[in-house]
Amino acid sequence: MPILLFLLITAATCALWYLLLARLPESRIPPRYLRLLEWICRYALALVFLWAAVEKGKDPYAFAASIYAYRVVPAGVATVMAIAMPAAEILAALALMTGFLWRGGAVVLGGFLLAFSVALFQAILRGIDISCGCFGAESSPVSFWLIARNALLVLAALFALRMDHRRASSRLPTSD
Amino acid sequence: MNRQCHHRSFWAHLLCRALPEALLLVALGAVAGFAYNSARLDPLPVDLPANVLLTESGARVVFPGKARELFEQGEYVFVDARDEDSYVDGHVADAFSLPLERLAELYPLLLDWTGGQPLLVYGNAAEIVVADDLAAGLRDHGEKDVLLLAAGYEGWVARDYPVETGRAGVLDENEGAWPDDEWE
Repeated sequence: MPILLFLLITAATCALWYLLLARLPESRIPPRYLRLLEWICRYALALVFLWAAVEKGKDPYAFAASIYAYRVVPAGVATVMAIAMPAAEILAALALMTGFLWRGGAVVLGGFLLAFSVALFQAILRGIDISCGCFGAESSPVSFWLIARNALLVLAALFALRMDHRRASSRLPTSD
Repeated sequence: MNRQCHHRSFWAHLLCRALPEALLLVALGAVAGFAYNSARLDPLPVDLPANVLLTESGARVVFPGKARELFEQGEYVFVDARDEDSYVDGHVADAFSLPLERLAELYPLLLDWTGGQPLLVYGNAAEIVVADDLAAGLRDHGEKDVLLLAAGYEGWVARDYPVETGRAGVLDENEGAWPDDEWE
């Protein structure tokens, strides 16, 4: 059953990936709507991470313990991550909201989401029954739904970057 | 600027344009995170042992600064998990001595003193597992709110928090009198 759920989530993510990254930016939808969607993606991602980072930053020990509970990294790495990651998330979220270094912010948060998803996936496969630690004390147990939520947020980051690429490409000289 | 980064491929554009910005943000975030951590009341030590991150007892872990706040509030009773000789040589002010091996024998006496107050257990910094086992034992005896001091007695002493010497909190020698009656 968990594998079926995982396959379903993967298929849905691929479909959304194709729609958001390949079809939508090249569609006939007026650019202002696409621009609005891009801003919604950037702000949604930034606000989710701002909330998460503030909650995790309040209690670094609890965050380090929840990282270590995934049994992927040693204790020393877990504590360094717990100290550095919330601040990096806040900076990346602010970058996304202000527009300064925002592409980097999207890559940082997208990268963190991918790493979280890999950690969640291996915890589910290994049967490690823990809280995800995503929002500090207010966290839910690990599940495939959390991977699906992360996949959506990764897509939001990639869509914003894809729109940026589309604008940059339109400024390039044509080859013929 | 970044004129050479205008690639037709999305992924090349991502690598060339966004990745350097991402590395800069992570580096700045790491610096900011460590600076904020060092300014905290209880900075998270980078060399925290694994058995402090994942306690056997499931007790909530506190660090010396927070423990001192709880000490001042008087809500928690401090329990010393070390052996009796170490306790006599020096312990957290007002703490009771409850060596792990005498838990079953002394717990009823502790309960007489605490009357169900929440407990904060500490031991040697190098042997946090002993204090953790005592915390687990206390939870098995029905104590719901048990905290564990991460840095142990040494962490408390290093901050010059209140300590004292003597046998005042040795449970089976003080039946019928509050420890305060005997302390200066």
